Amino acid sequence: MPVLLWSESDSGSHDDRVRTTRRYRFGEEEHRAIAEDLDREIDDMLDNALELVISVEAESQAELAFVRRWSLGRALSISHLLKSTNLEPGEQKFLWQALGAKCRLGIRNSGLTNSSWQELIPARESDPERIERDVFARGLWLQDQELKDAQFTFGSSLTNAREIHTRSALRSLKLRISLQGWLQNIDAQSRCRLLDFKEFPHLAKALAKRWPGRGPGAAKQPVHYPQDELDEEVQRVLEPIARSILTD
Amino acid sequence: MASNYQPAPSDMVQQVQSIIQSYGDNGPIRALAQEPVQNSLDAKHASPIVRVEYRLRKQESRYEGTRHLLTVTDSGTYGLRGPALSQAELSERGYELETDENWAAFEGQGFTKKSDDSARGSRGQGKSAFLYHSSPPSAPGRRRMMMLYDTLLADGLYRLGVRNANPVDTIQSPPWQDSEAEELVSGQFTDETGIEIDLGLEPLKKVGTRVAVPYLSEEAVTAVKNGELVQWLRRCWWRAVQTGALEIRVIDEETRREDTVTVPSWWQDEPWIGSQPKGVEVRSTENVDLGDGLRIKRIVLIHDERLQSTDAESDDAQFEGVQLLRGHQWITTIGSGDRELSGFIPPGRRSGFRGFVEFDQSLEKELRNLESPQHHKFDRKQGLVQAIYRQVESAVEAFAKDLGWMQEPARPPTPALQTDIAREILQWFGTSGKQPTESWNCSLSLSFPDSTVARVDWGQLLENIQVLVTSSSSFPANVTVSLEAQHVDESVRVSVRTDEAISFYNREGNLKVGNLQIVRNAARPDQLQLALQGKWKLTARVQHDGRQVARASRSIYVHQDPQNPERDPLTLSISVENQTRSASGRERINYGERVAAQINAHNNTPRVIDVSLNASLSEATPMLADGEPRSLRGTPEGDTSDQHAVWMGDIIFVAPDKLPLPDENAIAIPVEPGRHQLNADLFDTDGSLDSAAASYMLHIEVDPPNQGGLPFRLDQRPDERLPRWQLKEIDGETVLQFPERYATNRELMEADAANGTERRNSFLLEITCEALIQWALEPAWKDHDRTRLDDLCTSEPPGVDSEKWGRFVEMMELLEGAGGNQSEVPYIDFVEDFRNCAAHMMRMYEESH
Repeated sequence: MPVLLWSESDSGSHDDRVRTTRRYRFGEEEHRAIAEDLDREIDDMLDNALELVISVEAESQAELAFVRRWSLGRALSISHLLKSTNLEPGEQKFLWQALGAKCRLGIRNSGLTNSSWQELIPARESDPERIERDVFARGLWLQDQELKDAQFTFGSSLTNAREIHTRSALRSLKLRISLQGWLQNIDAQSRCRLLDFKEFPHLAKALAKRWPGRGPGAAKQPVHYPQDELDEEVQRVLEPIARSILTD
Repeated sequence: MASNYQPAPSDMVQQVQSIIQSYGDNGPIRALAQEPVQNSLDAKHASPIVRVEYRLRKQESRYEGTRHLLTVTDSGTYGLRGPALSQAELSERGYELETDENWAAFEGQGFTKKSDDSARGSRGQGKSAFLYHSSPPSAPGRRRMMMLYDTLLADGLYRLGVRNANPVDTIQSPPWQDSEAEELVSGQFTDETGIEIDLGLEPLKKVGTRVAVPYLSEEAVTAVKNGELVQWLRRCWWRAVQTGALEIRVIDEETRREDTVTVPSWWQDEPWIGSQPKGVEVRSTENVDLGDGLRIKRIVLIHDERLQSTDAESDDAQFEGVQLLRGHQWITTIGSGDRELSGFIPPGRRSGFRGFVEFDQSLEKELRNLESPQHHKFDRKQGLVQAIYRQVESAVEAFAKDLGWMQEPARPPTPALQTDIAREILQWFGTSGKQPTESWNCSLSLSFPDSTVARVDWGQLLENIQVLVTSSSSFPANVTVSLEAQHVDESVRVSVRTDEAISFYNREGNLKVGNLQIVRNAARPDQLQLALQGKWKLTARVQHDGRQVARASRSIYVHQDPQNPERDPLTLSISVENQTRSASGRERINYGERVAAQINAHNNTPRVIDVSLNASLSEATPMLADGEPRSLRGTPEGDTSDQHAVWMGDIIFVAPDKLPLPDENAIAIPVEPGRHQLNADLFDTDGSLDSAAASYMLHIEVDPPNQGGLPFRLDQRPDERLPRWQLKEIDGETVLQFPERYATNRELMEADAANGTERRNSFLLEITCEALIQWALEPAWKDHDRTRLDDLCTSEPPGVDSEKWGRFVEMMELLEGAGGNQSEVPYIDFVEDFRNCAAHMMRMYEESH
């Protein structure tokens, strides 16, 4: 999928160029027509993400960050940008770069700017790979669950979400459903303690030890279990850790 | 209008396509830029300049919509002189033409000859360049091509010819002449199938030739409109334009755009003559003598700082490097990043570096014979061409020294020669580019008197000896099996069976030897004399058409208890082959391709072990095996363990949102494009043994980081404190790092250079062999994963001494046990075994090269 990669000159004017992995004879500009169409679709997607953010009342900055990330993922998912027949394997990185640049610059295809898009991605993460991994890919992953469920599972903490998301074997929705189910059976005060960003990593580590991403034990991952069996296994793995955290 | 088409004996459509495909990437447009102009220059008149005009005309038809006609017209040439000869006349003359018989040569295809080497049209490239781009209406599923050509000669003769490829090659014979020809050219022409072609061209007024391509291909239309054709013309002909011998124009009548082919900015005003502006460095080496009266006329090199930031795909970037010109025509480029020059030109300087080489007349004549018919490369195997390359390298080296580049630290971290050597070694050891074709397997089964130990005493029987051979071919012929025992210390050999033919049924064949009594003295037919006490190897070798295709060995301890090397009790490995493209599973796998996977286990304990198997492709579903029970036969103590295929099957990967194709014989796994690990776990069901795990990285719809499936790439690190070598995982890629300034590295390289044996770089050979051992064994030491070890050990290189390869496999297996976590082998012994194994690998490699 050819994309428009926007940039800002020293004088503050905006410029764009076409990037693609497709073959071309003369230059990437040959694919500008598709890139322009895509750029307009991205405009709609980002507007949609903002609307989703606005529709939720967040109580803290951390919760707002979580909502923004989820909203961006949901808007991306609804937009079908990633399922476009124009998107060829290997081109996704350009899409993330283009999205990142548009958010940072707040630049629409028409050339007008919308500075509120800048709020959708963290200002400090300018490395394209981090933008891809930490923002767009994680947003998409978060929105597998409805917002309320995702907030419940991770205590509205992006840090907690990252603890699970960075471990590839733990990424399946099934595991999050089991985790959510397990947390639902715990009283609110204890749950709050377990979802504290200092304690949650212990739970994530125990799960990762049970389901490593590589080496011995990697051949059967949470995604391969029936949901009820996985629920039981998650409970079996987490109960001792939770007891230990709560009695400290 | 008389019309008589004369068939020439060929499927012209196929021939044209194959000629143009031989130009490689961008071939059709390069051919269109190169061949017509080449033909015009070959027919140059005494006039000082040849003019060539490409003209694109848009044509509208009520029935056929929009189409395009391309004409290529030359002047300053003789035109297509000489008589139009019929097939009979050509045959009578033995297809031998005189120098000035251009018409007949142009109409000939691939078989006409000339008495001099400026053969217009003799090789068929020129005609193909035109025909390829013509696509007139044809029957469904068929392709046809057509071109028309008219010429005005100095004596006033006017001729029009037509060539059709439908798909048989036909030409208009005799051609139309004079007023009839002029009338057709300026009006309408009806072809053999009744298609009316509106030419509407002005008859030629100047002596010369015009070729018209009706129904011009979309590719050519685009190339004219977006300037690509002009770029190719500039790339090919800038020097001829500069010398004033040639003028080329490209005209698009629709947009009224007219481009004249110009000289690239950096060569304008012949910068090797006179002074240069700041930031531009030019050196010219003139009259380089190559012996035998052959001379390079000039090597010109330039570095212009202003050319620094070219896009890799832009036209300017195509000039990066040194162009070799023949007859003022670009033939090929030695790229500034190519092996020959990369060591002299720092990466940061490459985009601003240009050069060209031209030759004197006698050398040009020689080179013409060493040039491809497509005029796009010289035969690098020829000594003369190699000498030219060496001279260019020398000139570039001197240029780089002069500009102070040789002192710059920007020299690429791993010189191309080193990468090549490592690649050669790795490829020879079969870890890269293994192309499975016909596969063979061999197993040797026998029963010892005590099934738990590989010992037999004199007088006892080895029972049920059998060699089982499997082949991917159903009924292979000429397959023989030999069986031989060899004492490992004394090198005493005893033949059991020699070249016994076996027949195959359902891909399997076997040699049943039966029972043999082991004796110390002379043996009867049902006995085997193994006179020495100690360890023997019983080896079966399978030959197909005289070539060894498989082997299997068993260890036998005669009258002695085995000295059992340390072994992991359970090991596991995975092998993968892409069956659709007959490629190794370490290469890219595309959606829809059928991949054969096999998971193999070894039980190194003497008892039967019940295990359960899990296998999956990382987070994808379904699992390949979910707790599937298996029973693994034991291995007698001291013997080589059997390989048990605990899972085998075909897999087809599909896009997640696509419905898998129904295929009863393959498992469809939906998966996103990317790197995915095939994982397998084997658990001893009674829990008394460590589990074994194996993994195999698959690259689905993406290219693997190490091109060609190499296990690792070399990275020579400048100015870093590193051990002699180390293997590191960097972003999913395995890298062999070694320090540039390591003392023995430098010394050995210098010694190799002094001996003229750079390509036998001893240091690289040693560290590559050592790293290969480490690469193959590390997963085995860590997770009992023999995937890489099996991959390496089953890749016996062609031509290697089979005994030595067998010894290598044994050494690797010894290291596998000795390097494990629970090994009690002293470290010093392990290191010695490791070095011995590397030395053995080096010896095998050296002996085969």
